[in-house]
Amino acid sequence: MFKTNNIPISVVWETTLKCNMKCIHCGSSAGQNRRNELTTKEGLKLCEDLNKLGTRLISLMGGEPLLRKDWNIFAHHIKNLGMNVTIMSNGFLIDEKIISELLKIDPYAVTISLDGGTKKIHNNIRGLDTSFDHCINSLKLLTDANLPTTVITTIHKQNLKELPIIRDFLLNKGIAWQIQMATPFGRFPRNLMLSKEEFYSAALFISTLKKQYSIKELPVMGAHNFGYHSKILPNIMLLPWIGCQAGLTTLGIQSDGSIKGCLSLPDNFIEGNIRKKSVIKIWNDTNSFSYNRNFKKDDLTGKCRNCKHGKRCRGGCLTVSKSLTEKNHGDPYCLRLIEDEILFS
Amino acid sequence: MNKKISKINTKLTNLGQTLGLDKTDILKARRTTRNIISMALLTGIFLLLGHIIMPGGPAGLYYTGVSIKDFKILFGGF
Repeated sequence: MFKTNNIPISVVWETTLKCNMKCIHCGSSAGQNRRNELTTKEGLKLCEDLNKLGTRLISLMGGEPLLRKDWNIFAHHIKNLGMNVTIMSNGFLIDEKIISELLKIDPYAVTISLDGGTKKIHNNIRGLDTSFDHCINSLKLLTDANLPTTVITTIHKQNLKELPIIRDFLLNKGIAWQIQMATPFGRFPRNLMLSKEEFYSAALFISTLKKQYSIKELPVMGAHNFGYHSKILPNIMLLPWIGCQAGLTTLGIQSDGSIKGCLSLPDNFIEGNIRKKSVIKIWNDTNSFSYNRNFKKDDLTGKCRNCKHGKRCRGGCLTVSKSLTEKNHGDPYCLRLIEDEILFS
Repeated sequence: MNKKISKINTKLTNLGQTLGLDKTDILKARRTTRNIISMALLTGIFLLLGHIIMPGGPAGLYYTGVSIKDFKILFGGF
């Protein structure tokens, strides 16, 4: 074992797989708890270990993290250790009592999933008739309390055309907006995934918003799967892409203590379980996360092999690459590649 | 050359129509030397400020959910 120079700056922790919704795009098929989810004591120890590794942000995710009765114990502990905490929720359970708790916690962000600008689409995607109303109400409560609020919209064929409606709703509300593409893992069927043309339209939409509105009016960005190195569009992520960060600066923890570089990766990317080996040992293990830590240009697959940005880009989003090609480092949903296929051909 | 650019612009316009985008807005949203330079400058500022504010950079920028705080760090509190 050696000590790596990498630091898991941002950690996403699925505190429970239990969820009160049943979203069609859920990559982890959330609904029921996993067997043997971490106890409060184990969770607190995990936070302490992450702090020792240099983690700066722990995002509590689910399932629905607010379904755990000890979510606030974890959040306070993370803050007391000097780290930041983000709560990633579907908004259903957020009421004045939770707002009051959140104000005490002072989170880095509270992210709420909004997948439709209309009740019909949002509720249909989330599998719950009252979801939209709860979501909108939670956004009002959060912004009224001046809490740092983010809307995350996961797009696919069923809600792509909702983007302009969501834009109109979010304008001038001081809410950050992250748009990401659904990837065929878990419950999400491949036939609902955006086509490359639709994906490019969404990128064009984000790019246009960034030009039309100031950051104050509409702080919008494309998530990590909205790249890379376009010849036509400016960068639509927050910062230029520097390659998948799984196992380099980011870490995902499942509710049963299993560790992955990124939670969206499939289970064959599990590096170990904190019940058998501490997160510190897993992170520092020379064999962990080798797909990124020991990446070589020869590891690129598909059309990425011939790309001049390949070495730095490492073939885009590993999850998208794996889900669509079954190989690492060759994400075909790359703006540059799509431009070659549909604009320059 | 002009014919090629015109063909690309037509394709972009068609793609943008899926989401009701206007042709003029689409063409304005294209990459320019100015936004390439501003992104390079922004990255430089991010690396400098980010490491001062938070070792390793603003934490929310890494693949999870973005925060309004990330925008504020990057764009100077608006």
